[in-house]
Amino acid sequence: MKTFDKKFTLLWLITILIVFLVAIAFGITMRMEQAEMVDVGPLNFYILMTSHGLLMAGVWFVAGMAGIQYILSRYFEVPRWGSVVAYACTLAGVVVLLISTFLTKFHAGWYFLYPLPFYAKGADSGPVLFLIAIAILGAGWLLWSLVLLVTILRKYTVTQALAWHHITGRPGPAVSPFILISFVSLIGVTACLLAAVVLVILYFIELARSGTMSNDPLLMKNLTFFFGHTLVNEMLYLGLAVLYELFPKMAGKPAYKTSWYVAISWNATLLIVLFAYFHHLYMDFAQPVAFQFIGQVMSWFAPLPAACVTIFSVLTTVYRSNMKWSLASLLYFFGVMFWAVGGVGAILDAVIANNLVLHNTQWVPAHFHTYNLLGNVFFSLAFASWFADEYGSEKMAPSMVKVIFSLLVIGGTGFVIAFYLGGALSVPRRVDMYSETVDEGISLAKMAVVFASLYLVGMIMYTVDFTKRCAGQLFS
Amino acid sequence: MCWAAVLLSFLLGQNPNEMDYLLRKIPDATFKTSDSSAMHISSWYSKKPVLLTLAYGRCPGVCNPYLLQIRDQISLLGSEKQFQVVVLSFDAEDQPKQLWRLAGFNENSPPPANWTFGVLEEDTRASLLTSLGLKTQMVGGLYEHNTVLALIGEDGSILQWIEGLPGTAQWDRLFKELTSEFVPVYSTLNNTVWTSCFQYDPASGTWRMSWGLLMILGPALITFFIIIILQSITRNDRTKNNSSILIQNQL
Ligand code: HEM
Ligand SMILES: [Cu+2]
Repeated sequence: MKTFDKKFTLLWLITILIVFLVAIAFGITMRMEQAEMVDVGPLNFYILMTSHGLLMAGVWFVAGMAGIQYILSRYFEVPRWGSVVAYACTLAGVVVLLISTFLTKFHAGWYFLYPLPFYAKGADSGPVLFLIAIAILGAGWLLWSLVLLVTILRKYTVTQALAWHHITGRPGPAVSPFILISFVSLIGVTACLLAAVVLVILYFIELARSGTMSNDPLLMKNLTFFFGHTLVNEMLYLGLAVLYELFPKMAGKPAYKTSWYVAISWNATLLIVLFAYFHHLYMDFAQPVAFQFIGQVMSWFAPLPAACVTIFSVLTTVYRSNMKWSLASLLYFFGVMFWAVGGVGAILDAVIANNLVLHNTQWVPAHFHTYNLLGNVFFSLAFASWFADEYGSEKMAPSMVKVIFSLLVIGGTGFVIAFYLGGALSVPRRVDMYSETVDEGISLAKMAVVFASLYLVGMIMYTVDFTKRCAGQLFS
Repeated sequence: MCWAAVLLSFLLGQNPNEMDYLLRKIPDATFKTSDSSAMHISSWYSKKPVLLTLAYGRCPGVCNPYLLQIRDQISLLGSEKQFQVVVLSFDAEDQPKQLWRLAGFNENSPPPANWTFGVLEEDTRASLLTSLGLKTQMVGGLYEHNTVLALIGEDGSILQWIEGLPGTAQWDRLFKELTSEFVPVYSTLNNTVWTSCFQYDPASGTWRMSWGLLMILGPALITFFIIIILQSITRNDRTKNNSSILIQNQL
């Protein structure tokens, strides 16, 4: 193992953990505002919400990418500069982002739905700085994604990397699930980052020709959700790719093989993810009706291949294994299960009839926090734990494993249950105060503050422990 | 001045500051009609949609052709019972009947029941004018003013706001709103946005898909080509290490 790859991965992980703690603090502050425990006011609430959403999406995306980069570097020679440039862009992008939200008071929400950025902007420079931040992040990550794609294509043709020969039974090189899933996800990542690039360009054109040109809101909304929805989905798959590589080994079982059904399901996922985002536009009467049907059908199918195959694989791996449960394997196993719970919540909401009731209630943050906070985050934390166990000065103490794991699971589930209950009671999302008609929201927010704080304590312990065990490596 | 402003907004076919008025509530102003001493605008808009406009009797300029045009357009529509046209004067010296003339009515052919003419009372006049964006200025004993036609909903909020002579598309939109017809596409600031998903033809009220909709596919298509290109530029690398292709899982 090359020391550079190790050290740089470590740098990524430590950075991610620190930013995560900050973003959780933002989240708890929002919940405290909703619980009427503090009074930051609506403007600050939306500033926190915008910063929180983007930091979280960004941080767990790069966490997935760092995992891919690392495992890939155990297979092949991976160019380093992709990761390095992406790291620089991520730092720069985050700084500009926080300036745009906290200093120039930009507060249009994490996916900045058109034309809100022109209104929820604070100073005039707000949207400009914000779009610059998005451009820096988008460019850096796009480049990184392309570098990783090239790395895979240096070894396999497109059809090989998509494991088509595993479906047809034709001869060809063995393609591990890790390669297949990474390849599929990186294609999706590239597509959604390109959408972000187009989006930012259109915004800049409108800004530059102030007043004389306006964009088509329907196009902007489509591009926005192609970007936002797809990014959030793909970053989960990045984490899964690493899971497929590491999990069987943890259970003392042979590495996963790319069977025909694994190949088919991930090829299907490649296509389905690109169309599922239409379910964000059910309320848009101008959207062609055909798209609404596609959105509905694709949303039903979206989780089937990847989720079912993964759950099946993980369960059979654990069954009758002599798994030594470490924090890494616990997080992987429960991450997959919570991902499934969040997925069910998502499908319920993506059914048009339900969406009429659940649209923009707290059901939405409920389901995506489930598969992020307890799913995707767990995958990346599992990778980090495995990494620390492997290369750190010592393994994590078993008592520590129990405490941290319990805090994360209890804190996380309590926190999302408050959101689900809020959704069921029609408490709206994205408001900083609740009127009497939905004042249940206030008590639920209080409950969420308590549980989120448990999660935060767990994460602080995790971060301290991780740094203690690994920081030495960084400077060795 | 008055004419120039009207002409300009007509040419643009567009209300650049429509958004400043839409969905805002108007004050419930009082006015005198020829057969009542004082009534509230709400006594109309609480019953049915109101097409509200302001004028004054001695106007040497736009008021007369403006109201004639409104009358013409409304007669095309037919469904007169469903809404009330309310024409109010902002000139305290006016008599309600004086205003009839502006729309081509007189004692022999009086206005039909769905037309109301009245003179605004002093106390609420200014606030109504402001809420509708009507600007007046006294010049040599006469008023210079712009013209505004507003559709008022049953809670007193402005549902449509048109400054100057409405263009065909604006009439179309107004009538659709009046008759609660579903309008899938509104023309926005600039009809020729090159990224539009739809092209809307206001005259016929039809719309067809435009290539903006294709841009939705853009990112996926570009990705497809990028992958093809990457595959061809890495061809040499692949042949080089063909032999070492069987991957060893290093775990
Ligand atoms: C304990 C940790 C967390 C806390 C306390 C927290 C808290 C919150 C709160 C209070 C909101 C606003 C909800 C509303 O609309 O009423 C929110 C929104 C959001 N959160 Fe979290 N969150 C946490 C973790 C995460 C994670 C791990 C992710 C993603 C990987 C995430 C992504 C988002 C996003 C994308 C939004 C939507 C922002 C928007 O509407 O623009 N959060 N979070
Ligand atoms: Cu006049």
